[in-house]
Amino acid sequence: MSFNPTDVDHPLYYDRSMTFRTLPALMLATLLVLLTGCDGLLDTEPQQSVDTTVGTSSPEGIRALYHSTYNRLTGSSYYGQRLMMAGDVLADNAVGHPTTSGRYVSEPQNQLGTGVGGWGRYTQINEINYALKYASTVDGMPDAERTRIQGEMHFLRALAYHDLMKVYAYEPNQIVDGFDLGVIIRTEPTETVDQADFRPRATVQDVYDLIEADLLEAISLLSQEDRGNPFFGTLAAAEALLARVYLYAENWSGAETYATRAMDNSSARLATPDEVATMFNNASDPTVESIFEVRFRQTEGLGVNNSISSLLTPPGHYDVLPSAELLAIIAEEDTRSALYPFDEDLEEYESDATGHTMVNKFNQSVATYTDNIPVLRYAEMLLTRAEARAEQPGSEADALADLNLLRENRGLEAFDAMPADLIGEILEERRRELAFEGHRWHDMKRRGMDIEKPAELNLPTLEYGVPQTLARIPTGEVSLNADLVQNPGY
Amino acid sequence: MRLRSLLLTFMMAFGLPALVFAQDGMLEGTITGADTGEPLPGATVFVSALQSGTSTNIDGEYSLELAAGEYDVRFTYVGFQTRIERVTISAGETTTLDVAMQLDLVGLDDVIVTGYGEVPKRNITGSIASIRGRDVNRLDVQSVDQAMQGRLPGVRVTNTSGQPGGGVHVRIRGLGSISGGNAPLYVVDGVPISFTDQSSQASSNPLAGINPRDIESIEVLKDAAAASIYGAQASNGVVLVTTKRGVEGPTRFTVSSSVGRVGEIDRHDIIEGPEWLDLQMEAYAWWYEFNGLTREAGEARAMSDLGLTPETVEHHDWQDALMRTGVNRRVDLSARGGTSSTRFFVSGGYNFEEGTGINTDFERLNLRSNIEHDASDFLTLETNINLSTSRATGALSNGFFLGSPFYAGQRNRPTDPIFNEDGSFNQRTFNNYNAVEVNVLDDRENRINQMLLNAGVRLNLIDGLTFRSFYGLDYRNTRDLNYSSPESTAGPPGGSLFQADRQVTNFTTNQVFNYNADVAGNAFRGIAGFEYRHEDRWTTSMSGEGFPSGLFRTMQNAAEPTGVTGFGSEYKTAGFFGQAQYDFLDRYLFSATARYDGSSRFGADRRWGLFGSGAIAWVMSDESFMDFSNNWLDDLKLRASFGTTGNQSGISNFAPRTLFVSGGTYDGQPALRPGGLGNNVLTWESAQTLNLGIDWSILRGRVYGVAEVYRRDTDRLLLGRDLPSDSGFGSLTENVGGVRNEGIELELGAVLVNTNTVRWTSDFNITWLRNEVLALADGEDRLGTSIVVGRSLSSYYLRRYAGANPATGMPMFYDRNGNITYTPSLTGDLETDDREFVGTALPSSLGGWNNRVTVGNFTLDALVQFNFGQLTYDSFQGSFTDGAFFRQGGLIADTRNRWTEPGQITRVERAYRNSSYPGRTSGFTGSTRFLQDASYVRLKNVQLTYALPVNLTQRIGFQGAAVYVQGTNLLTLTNYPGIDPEVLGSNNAIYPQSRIFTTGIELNF
Repeated sequence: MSFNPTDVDHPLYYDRSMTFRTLPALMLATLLVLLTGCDGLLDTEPQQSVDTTVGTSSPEGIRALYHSTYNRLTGSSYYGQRLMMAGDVLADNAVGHPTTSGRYVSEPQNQLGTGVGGWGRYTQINEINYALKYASTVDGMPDAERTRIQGEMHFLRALAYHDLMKVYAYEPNQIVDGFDLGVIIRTEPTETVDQADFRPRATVQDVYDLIEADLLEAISLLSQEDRGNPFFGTLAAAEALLARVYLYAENWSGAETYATRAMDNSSARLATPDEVATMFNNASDPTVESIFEVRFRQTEGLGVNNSISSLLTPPGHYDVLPSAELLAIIAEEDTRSALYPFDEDLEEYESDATGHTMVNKFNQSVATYTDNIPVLRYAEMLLTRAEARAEQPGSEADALADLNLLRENRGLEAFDAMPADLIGEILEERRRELAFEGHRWHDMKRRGMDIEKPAELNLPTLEYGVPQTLARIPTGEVSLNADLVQNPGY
Repeated sequence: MRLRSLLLTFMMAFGLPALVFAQDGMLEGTITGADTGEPLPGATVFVSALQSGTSTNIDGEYSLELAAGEYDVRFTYVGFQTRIERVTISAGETTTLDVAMQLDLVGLDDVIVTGYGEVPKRNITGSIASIRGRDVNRLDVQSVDQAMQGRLPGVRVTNTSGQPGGGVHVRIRGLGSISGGNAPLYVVDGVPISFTDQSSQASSNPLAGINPRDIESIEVLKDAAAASIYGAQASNGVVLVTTKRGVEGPTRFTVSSSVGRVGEIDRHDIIEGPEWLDLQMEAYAWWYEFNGLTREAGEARAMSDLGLTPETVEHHDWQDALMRTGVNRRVDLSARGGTSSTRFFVSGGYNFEEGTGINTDFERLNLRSNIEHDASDFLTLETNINLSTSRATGALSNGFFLGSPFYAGQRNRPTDPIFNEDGSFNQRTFNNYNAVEVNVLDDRENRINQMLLNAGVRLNLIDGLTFRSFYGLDYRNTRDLNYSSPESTAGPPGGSLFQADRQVTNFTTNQVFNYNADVAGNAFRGIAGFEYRHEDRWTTSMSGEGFPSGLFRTMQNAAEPTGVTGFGSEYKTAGFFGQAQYDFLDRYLFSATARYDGSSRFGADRRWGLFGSGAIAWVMSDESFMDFSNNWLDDLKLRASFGTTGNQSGISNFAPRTLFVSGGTYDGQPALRPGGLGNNVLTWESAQTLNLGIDWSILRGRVYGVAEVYRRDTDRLLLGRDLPSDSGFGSLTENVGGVRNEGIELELGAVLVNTNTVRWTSDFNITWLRNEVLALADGEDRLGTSIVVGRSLSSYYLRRYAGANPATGMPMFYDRNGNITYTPSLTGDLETDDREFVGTALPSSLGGWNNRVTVGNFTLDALVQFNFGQLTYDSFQGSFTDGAFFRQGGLIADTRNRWTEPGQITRVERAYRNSSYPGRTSGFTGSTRFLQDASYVRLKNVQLTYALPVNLTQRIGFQGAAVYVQGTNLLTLTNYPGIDPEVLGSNNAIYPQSRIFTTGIELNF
């Protein structure tokens, strides 16, 4: 006979009702003990982030923040891609590939509102400001490291503001119609909502003063201690950037002085003719010419959609080609012509019926779609000094010597005699040397030059001072912030 | 539920023998269905006065020993109207009472599952729509949410992917949130289901782990009265899924199996090779002509650029190579039965389906065991266990990916061969990419192991008062795999592998008291409880490159690991809740609900909130002044409810806090950065819902219906307040803004024909709904481009296309004054912009019409489902028009309508080799040129079933047997030019649904 637990007559039956009736009370009690009151009940802690106060009060937090400020440079809107290409595409060095993926379509046309961009750089500036503020107060960080981090942060902030100024404002000596507004200045971190206030643009001169002060401070700090590693800001990098800034500001003697110091204080040197074709192809070392280079480790690439190599070479998106005008000034004997191969010569790429000459400066040298990006290099300093000297009466011979030094190392004949248009020759050399490193648009802008668009595009010359000369500040920012004046023509 | 009354009956019958007296008489008889005359086994016979009863045996017979006297005996059976008969029992005599029961179509006595309880349908005060599992068990769907489509008023179900087992988009009564989630809360057998951390490789759905065959019922809680007991998770509605339970009685086995064919609904008409070359030559000719050169030179250039001539051009059908007709198979077994103290339902199922895109499969194995055991009168143990493992192979979709079968088939150049002459894949296509090869050689896969289990103890404390201690676990492990073979054109030269393991552990417990009392027609029901939930997720992923060949597909074979990363997060919620309902004379129903709910996602200063609702209902038909209608009106009930619910789905787990978050790496070193500005008053979005309803039924259930109107105002919407980005941050999330959703829902059912041999029942439902933005951030009346106060949340704000200029073939637009322009302004300012609000992506009405016709042993089920007033921006078509000749990829048939000569009136502009020509507005996608009406009426599902005659099946040892054929997505009436009008927002190369035919057999024994 089976046992029916509710059969009161069964010998195995016992009354458990009392036990059961106390159960809920027991369960509730257990639960309450487990949950230990409402306060702690809903406490959770994030596992891959920490409260800001924790992040800013430890040396580890400051170091992580420091690496974040460098990581910001790697983004595809910055040195990862756009800052290196847009300046060439907007000017006269590039045209679109016929079978484009849709990237860099409006840039060669200079459609209104299509500039280099980069207003988002303020995110990096805010992080730099955080690092600057807390590196000085954090406990437990060795003083040498504290000094070095502060120096590097001043260098990165100057780079950020100068990159913004190149895009959004006129240079101090090239102001058109008195439009002397620079960009918004922020030198303190935004830690509360109140601090995210609306600010007007500072004047061009104010921003240049800030950049100069930052670089002089960086030079002072980094001269005590730097990493001696071009993947980070160093004394030479700060000097090189100051030389570039003085060149933009047409402070010729300053540019000459600091270009010389940067070349002297850097371990970089001029590449020899044999090295030119492969100087950008180092897997782990910086190029021999790099004074400051943004490093990409093999896991840090930007992939097929965003990397510079994908946009310039097959089998990536391959959207941008060098213009015929650029190729025309690179002679066959010029060793830099090796940087512009014909794609049909590449074994794996033969399908395009006509074939194209492409830019092969960045060819996945670190890993798939991953290259290091030179930001400040020796040849730029040499050309900077040449231009600065050429602008100073009496120094023309020294200027020519600088120019000839570069030409001889690129397989070109040196000028025997002073050329008729020395500055023109220097600027053309600059165009050849620094093509697809983002300089061309800014060099023409700072010189107030009109841009003759590549003939293939069938477009009129873009005159200096048209609205496109200054990029459009994101419209959302302008409509949000009544104090923010838009650039003319937008 | 019937289960409970059965249980009670049996407990009375076996547990209270002391009530049997010597001067007893016997009551016996047979219970049959009035329409069929078939016996009804398991029907309940209950004598309230004695709290005693029994149930019928397999032949529909019952017998009950009763003390002499006069009694009201109640006969109940699910799906039939309850009958109460007065009998007189004489001592020592046997009274016979046979009962033929009428079908109860409205099911007023059916018990409806509600939040933390169940209530007979007649006593419901809120808005609850339900489906019985038996009506949808057989559908060719992988997940229960798909089964709701077209069957429930107010519930919009859209299949967002044709991937078998893929995601389903469900919206109950519109959209209440702008930035937060709008998906309802799903609760399966008391366990809220987590939808976080789904597969990145194939569209997946956590509900696909549950076999639709195991479903007993689906209830959708729509208004605040029904849903507010779920507090801060309830404002998008709640879907309660209940699986089958055991029933005491002999063990019944069900075996079913089906096989079928999965085919495409439709296919895009594309331009074939020779015509394609003609078109390209035309585009070149115009290009040359524009530049002052001859057309002939342009045509020659085209042939040279493309490497093709009209004499040699071939056509290769990429669509054919990327799409296929698949098969599906399904085998399901279940056993259901139990004794007086232990009841069980166990099932196992296997489902395999091939999607229409090549290499997209879904395979699932699942096991379920639902067991209840009465340890005593006082204590019942219950446990439901669902284990499932599924594997899906997916394809790129929802984006214009060159590797997506739903884009590449049309986008590829039709002149490019798919294979080389030696049979290998042609890698030298115009874009150096072979989508067929990529889909064949590369893998996108997910494997989901899912465990959904709960255990509980139910105690009957005193009469009517029960306590339930409940523990549930929803655990899901998703392994994603993305392998790019070294031989394929995608990925790096040595191939690559990405693998992610995602674990979600979602634990719930609740402790609930339920009280029911019924005194002289005044019923009281009460619920009081506490719930706690903790959801924890953890993902690790790794990637590697450099495989020797496509034969090696595990990380062990990767020459070079390229990345490892991990991520974890969690959140917790807790709530105290209570509900009370008082039914005065069963005629005036009052209910009130409250929940004090907290979440770790809310800011420290707004962590807990109170939600609540009140409802009243009046059963008007029971009033004496309605006596005149007694012979035709069965039921007339008026309902009204108002209450608040919350939505926390838009808040990420640590949103209110100011955190340093991961910032990638530089030089191999980890980076941290400020992740945003905190907001310690960040809290739930809050909805106030007013609901009015009428339930009615006439002519003994022959005709019945429900009508409801609702208004749901959601405020404290989570919106980002823009910050000046020079501050380093773009926005701060705040509780601002409001949205209103309102609608009318009608449900109408009828037994249209009911004779001995023919029976036709029909259910129709329709919902009209609209949506309006009430407020945005302080002082703002616009968010982004198209969200504007006073307009629908899903408005389209587009340039108005005016067709191609008959003289030049150049696209024309209307400016804001209705004049023709070639360059409409896009100032972004509502006053000066030439764009206009041209309609919304929300349907204005939707619904379904379900029919069942039984003729003898044949039953035909047919579901028609419809959506009206929904506009969709067809970016798929747009991607084939604007700049199509510039990219030199494939072309779709619409290109044939292009302008070719002066005087021609058409909407399609001329062919042109470059992306633009002087004067032409580039990027004229974004205009009404591609705005389509996606209204449709669809014959969603048809089933024809032949039930073998009972005398035949019984002879061969079966209780029942049926064979059926079924068709899904059979016919669609629409003006939409794409494959599938069941699209959300914009068609960006979605995986279209399939047309499925299956044939199956079902045996019961």
